[in-house]
Amino acid sequence: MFKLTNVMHNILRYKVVLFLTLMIAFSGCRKIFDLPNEKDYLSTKMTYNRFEFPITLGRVNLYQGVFNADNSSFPMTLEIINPRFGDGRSAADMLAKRPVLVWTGEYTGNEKSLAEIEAKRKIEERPMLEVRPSGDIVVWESATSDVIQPRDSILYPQDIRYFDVKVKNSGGTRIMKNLWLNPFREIPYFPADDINPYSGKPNTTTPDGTNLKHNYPGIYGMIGEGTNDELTATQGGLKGLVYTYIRKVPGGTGNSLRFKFLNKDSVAIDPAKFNQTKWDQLVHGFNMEKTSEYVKYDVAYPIPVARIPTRFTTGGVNNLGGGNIAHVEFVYSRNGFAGRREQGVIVQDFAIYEKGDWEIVFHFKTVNPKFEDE
Amino acid sequence: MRKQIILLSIFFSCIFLCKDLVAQTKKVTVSGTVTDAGTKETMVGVSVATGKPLKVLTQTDSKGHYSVSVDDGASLVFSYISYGTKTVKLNPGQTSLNVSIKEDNKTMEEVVIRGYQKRTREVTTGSSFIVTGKEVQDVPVSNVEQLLQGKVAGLNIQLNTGAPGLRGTVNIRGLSTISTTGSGNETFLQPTSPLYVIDGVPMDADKASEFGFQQQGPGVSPISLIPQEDIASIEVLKDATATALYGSRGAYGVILIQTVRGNSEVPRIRYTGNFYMNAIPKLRDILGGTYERDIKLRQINNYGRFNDIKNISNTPFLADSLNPYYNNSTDWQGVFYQNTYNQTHNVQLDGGDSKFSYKTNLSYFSDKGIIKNTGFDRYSLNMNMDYKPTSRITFFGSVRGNVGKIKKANGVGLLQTGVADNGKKSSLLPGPSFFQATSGVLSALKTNTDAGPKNLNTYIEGRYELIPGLNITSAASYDYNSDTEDTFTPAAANNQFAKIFSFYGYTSQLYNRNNISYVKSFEEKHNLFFNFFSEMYVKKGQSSITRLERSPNDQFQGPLGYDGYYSRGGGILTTFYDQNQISFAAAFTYDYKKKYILDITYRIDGTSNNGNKDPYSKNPSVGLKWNFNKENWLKDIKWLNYGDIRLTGGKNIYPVGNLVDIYGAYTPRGFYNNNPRIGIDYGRVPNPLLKPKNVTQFNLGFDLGLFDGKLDVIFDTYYKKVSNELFPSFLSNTLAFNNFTSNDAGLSNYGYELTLSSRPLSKNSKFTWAVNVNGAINNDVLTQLPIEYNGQVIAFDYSSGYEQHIAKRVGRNSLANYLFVNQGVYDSTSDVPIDPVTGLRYRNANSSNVLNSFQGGDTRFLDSNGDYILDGRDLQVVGNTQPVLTGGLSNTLTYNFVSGSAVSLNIYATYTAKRSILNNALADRLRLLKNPFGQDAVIPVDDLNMWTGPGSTNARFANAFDYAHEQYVNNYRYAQTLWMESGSYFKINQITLSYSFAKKMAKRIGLNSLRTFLSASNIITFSPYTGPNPEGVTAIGRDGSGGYPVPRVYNLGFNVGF
Repeated sequence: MFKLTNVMHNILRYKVVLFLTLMIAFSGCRKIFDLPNEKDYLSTKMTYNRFEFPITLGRVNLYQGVFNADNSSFPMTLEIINPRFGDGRSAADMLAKRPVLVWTGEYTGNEKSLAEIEAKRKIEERPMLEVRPSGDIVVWESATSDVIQPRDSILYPQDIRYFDVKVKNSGGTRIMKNLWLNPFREIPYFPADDINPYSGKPNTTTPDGTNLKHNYPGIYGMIGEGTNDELTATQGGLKGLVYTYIRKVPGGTGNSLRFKFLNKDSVAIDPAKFNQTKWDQLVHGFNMEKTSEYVKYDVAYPIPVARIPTRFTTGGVNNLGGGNIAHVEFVYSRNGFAGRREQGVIVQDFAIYEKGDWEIVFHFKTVNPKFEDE
Repeated sequence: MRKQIILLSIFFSCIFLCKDLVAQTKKVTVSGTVTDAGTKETMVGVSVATGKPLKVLTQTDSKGHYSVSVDDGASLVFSYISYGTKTVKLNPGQTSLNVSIKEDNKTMEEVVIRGYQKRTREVTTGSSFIVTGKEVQDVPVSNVEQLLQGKVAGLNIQLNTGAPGLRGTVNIRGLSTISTTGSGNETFLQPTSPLYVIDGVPMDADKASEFGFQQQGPGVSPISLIPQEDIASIEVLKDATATALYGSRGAYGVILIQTVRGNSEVPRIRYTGNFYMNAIPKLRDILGGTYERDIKLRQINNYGRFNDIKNISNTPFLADSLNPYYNNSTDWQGVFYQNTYNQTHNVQLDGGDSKFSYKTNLSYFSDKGIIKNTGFDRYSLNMNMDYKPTSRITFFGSVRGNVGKIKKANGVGLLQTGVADNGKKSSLLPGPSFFQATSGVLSALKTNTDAGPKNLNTYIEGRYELIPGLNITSAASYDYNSDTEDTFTPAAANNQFAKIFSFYGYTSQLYNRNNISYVKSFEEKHNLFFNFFSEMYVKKGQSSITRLERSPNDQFQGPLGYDGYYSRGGGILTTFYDQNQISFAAAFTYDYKKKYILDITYRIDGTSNNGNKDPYSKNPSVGLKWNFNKENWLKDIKWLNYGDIRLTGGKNIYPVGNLVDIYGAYTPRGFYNNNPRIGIDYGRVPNPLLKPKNVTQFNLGFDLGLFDGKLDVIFDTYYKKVSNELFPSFLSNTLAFNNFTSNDAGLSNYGYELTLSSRPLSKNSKFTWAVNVNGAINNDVLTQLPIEYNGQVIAFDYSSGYEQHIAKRVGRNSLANYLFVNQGVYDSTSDVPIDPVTGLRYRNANSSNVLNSFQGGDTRFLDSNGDYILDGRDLQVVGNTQPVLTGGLSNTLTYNFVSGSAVSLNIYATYTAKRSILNNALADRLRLLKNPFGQDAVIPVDDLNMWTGPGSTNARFANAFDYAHEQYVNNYRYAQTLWMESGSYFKINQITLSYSFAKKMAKRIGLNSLRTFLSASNIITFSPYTGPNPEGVTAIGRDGSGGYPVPRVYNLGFNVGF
């Protein structure tokens, strides 16, 4: 009997303990209160700042900061879906993967060899059209007119390439609809006043006209041979007329750039006549080959390889926001009248977007520069 | 408190009055002395009662004597507040009886107050905690609230300002609002202090802080006007059932304060004096003199651009080290901070018997702040009286008059930004002197403020017992508070023109309560209690300011006329209010043998702060309690003194809308043909359906008393849902109005509270050791936002320069930060990620500027969207600005000498954990290095783990010296998680050593009693936090440098009884 009551007491004691434990356990659960769980925020007002993306084929096009997520929680997964033409045909061909150059290291402009530059980038297979996790739209240089039909002066609705972007995080999914590309044909170099952006043919001053447009270099302090007058690049006649041709030369490894000067008889001028040119700092090129006809460098394409201000770009390193255009300067000096030292300068800002063997030719069309001392 | 039992006993005794008369037998007169079992002192005012139910016959006199006439062989019951009841059965013919009674702390038998009615805790279901008046003495404070810190589980008090007269934040059971205003360090969380009820008069403690930090006027809370010596007990009501009957203002919890009542047959005079020192806590370290110059020059030489190096020669401050003007080492902080010596005096007179008793409390309090030209003085005279002409009629009346005077230097509200800015001036500049003082210094030290509240509060309550058990009570109070401030800034401190600011405001509250209660027992098993009452408030408040930007001279301080050009501001401020409120409430309690208890309350509140379409809200509550120790099957368990389980649930409201929310606003629109035009304010459309904030709370708890007082446990778990929180809802832009105030936000709190108290030593020991540990975990979750926000709102802050945004996201803690995530420091430039598309280094802001690129030694900010640009898209919701764990512990060790003297040591500490605070003080400190040409102080950074060059792999701080690069990458931006530190702390609040002289010794020098004590408060804080004080942060966890440091206080005090 005594034992029994003892046992009962123990049981009762356990009951109390058990009851209290249950009570604490019961209240601990967040679920019983039906509280919402934290989810990533996905704004209903998220949008693209623009839906039209004008691109130039054959070079990297990047639209940064175009996606306004309205404080939705990053990171998010973004995906291009439903590529199509205006009339509903699939346009998935623009999502095909092709090899492109991606950066792995930072280009500084101080690289000592071509290999050093190439070590900072590598070839990867990427879709021609990509959306980054930030919503940035990238059209790689691999997107060329063989896949994407460049636009003409008229863009037909049925030919427009549309795509949607699917945005996803733990807060849900949203689709940004009807983004579209406005593709311009490859313009392989800058300045490109001589190329008609729609047809790719030589450009004329008026549509279907016959007067061709040209690129001109900058000319300072040059005296025309025989005119003893200041030589200009654009005024023509005895004032002088100088064209810049940026063109491919056949053969080679696809990594060269050469500079050439032609006189009014289209005969090459010896580059050595530009005797004060800093040949080693002209372009970020290596293995300079200087002949009496041209100066040639091994270079990495595109030029400039990255939009980083270097001593080879316009404005130099102090042009903090620049770096997208290369700059060359050819200089000579001579004794002018009264023993004055005169400097003749020919400058050209340029960019080349397509890998190849290129030459930049300065053609003195009407008057040759005077190199001789007075 | 025990006296309230007496009251109840009287009611009970009346019921059985007739029975008593019948049973009357032979009477004897019994007399004797009552002594304290611990101190062996005679006790004054002990009730002596007899009969069943108990009937109080008398109280002991000043010598502890009593004499009563009772039936022969009756039982006498001796009781006294916070002492155990002692029942002695008289032997037949016994006429003398000396008894000693013991102090106890049995929480179950405390008297608690529910809906203005006194009940024993045993038969109430709600969750509450009582702090006795004794626990809030011994450290002089301007605001008694701060002594409650860490004493009550679930009552979170953060003493975030040391400004004399101003108060910290007080929250019961977590967050009750998500409403923030202001920006930067001045981001202000709407205060949600509990409702204070002082001797039956409700009072709004937040009255002085409606405007946030930049509020105008003295800003002294009415709570600061109550002298701590006058407090008898404080009860903190936490759950819905406990607060239910305080209705429309009880949603944030209720704190009941009982002041001291007259309690002695012979008049007593008790004096308390404190003499204390406020000591400056540790301030910022500063490099002085040549160290400062050397650092600045080294910065420029190492990191400057070409022009900077040239500029050294154009900056005589740096170059001309021999010029006496620039050849100093001034301690600017010393100019503003001081140690102060202060005193307080309190005289309390009380007396009276069970028919009439009175108390008068006269108090003077003075606290000179540690920032010069700040301080708070308080004069108060409080009186109350109890009058019971017959056992059926009771009157209670009180008058409280308080005058406060506050000096704020040139600070506004809680902030002392002027001092903070001037305190970080370059040490190279000459200190202030007669000829050489900057206007900043003068403005802080010479601004002349005459400000403070004046408060008068009257209360009268009458109670009549109509028939036994049925009581009618009527009470009325009027509270009038006037706030004035006159600030005079001398010409030298304000661009050669004296400036005058004047504030006048008043608030008034007329309050009336009528109450009927009925108590009935059947067969001593079924006990019923009914309580019906109505309540009415008429509250008004208005304040106005005048500002004269330029006045004639320093000598002429007024009266001033009006100047069309230099008179600014003025007029009535938008804090104007005129509120009416009426409530009806009913409460019903049933218990069976005090074992099973059911509490039901219902309350209807109508307030003018609700939308006028439906001003009434209905608030029910239900409570259940099971005193399981009374069950037969647990009766035999000796170690269980009491045990109960409580389950309650209910709803409460808090009216939050203002007139503009409900009625809209008209604004002046200039003149047309010289006629003033008044137009509709199209900003906000009125919402006539506006509802008050709703707080629904469920509470589950148990109380256990184990091993005869050796261990008491109180545990509560609760779920508190705040709904109908006001939130602006934006309207479609096709409508005329921009937004309206909706009720569509809500949040929830859930948590646990545990209180353990123990007196581990034997009751016969000469030592008494009392330990109390409590802690509360509170989690808050945002549950609702207006639908159009889709679950997240960021309160962007671009105006203050801090850009520390606040994120409110559903499903997460309600108030989080929205910051850039700091992941350390780039060891070298090659560690910086490169954009694979462009080949550019990760850079700050979408700038084409190459210098914006990050480099070795820069902060590794998280690029959360992967675009290799650090901008607003990369901000993340992080942290919790509210503490999760709070609590405290107290430890009292007393040794009783045989002589009757006693020495006692009390150590009392509080803690807070799991909170993220933004250390803007450290940010400011490092940002001082941003401009070596500036005339700001330089602060040592050697103690920080800063990047010094490639190889500093685990550096936490970016290279702060590279100021030239800093301007492009902004490594030391405020908006980053680098500053988000743990705000956990463990603080020794208070150590008190006291000595009570034995009665005999006191008498020898002509005193009745004498106690002296030494105390120190705010002594030391243990914390991982790198800033000055993890507690000295705003309610949303910002540690700005503009705050007022909390001083250390060393005190010597006396309690003398005459």
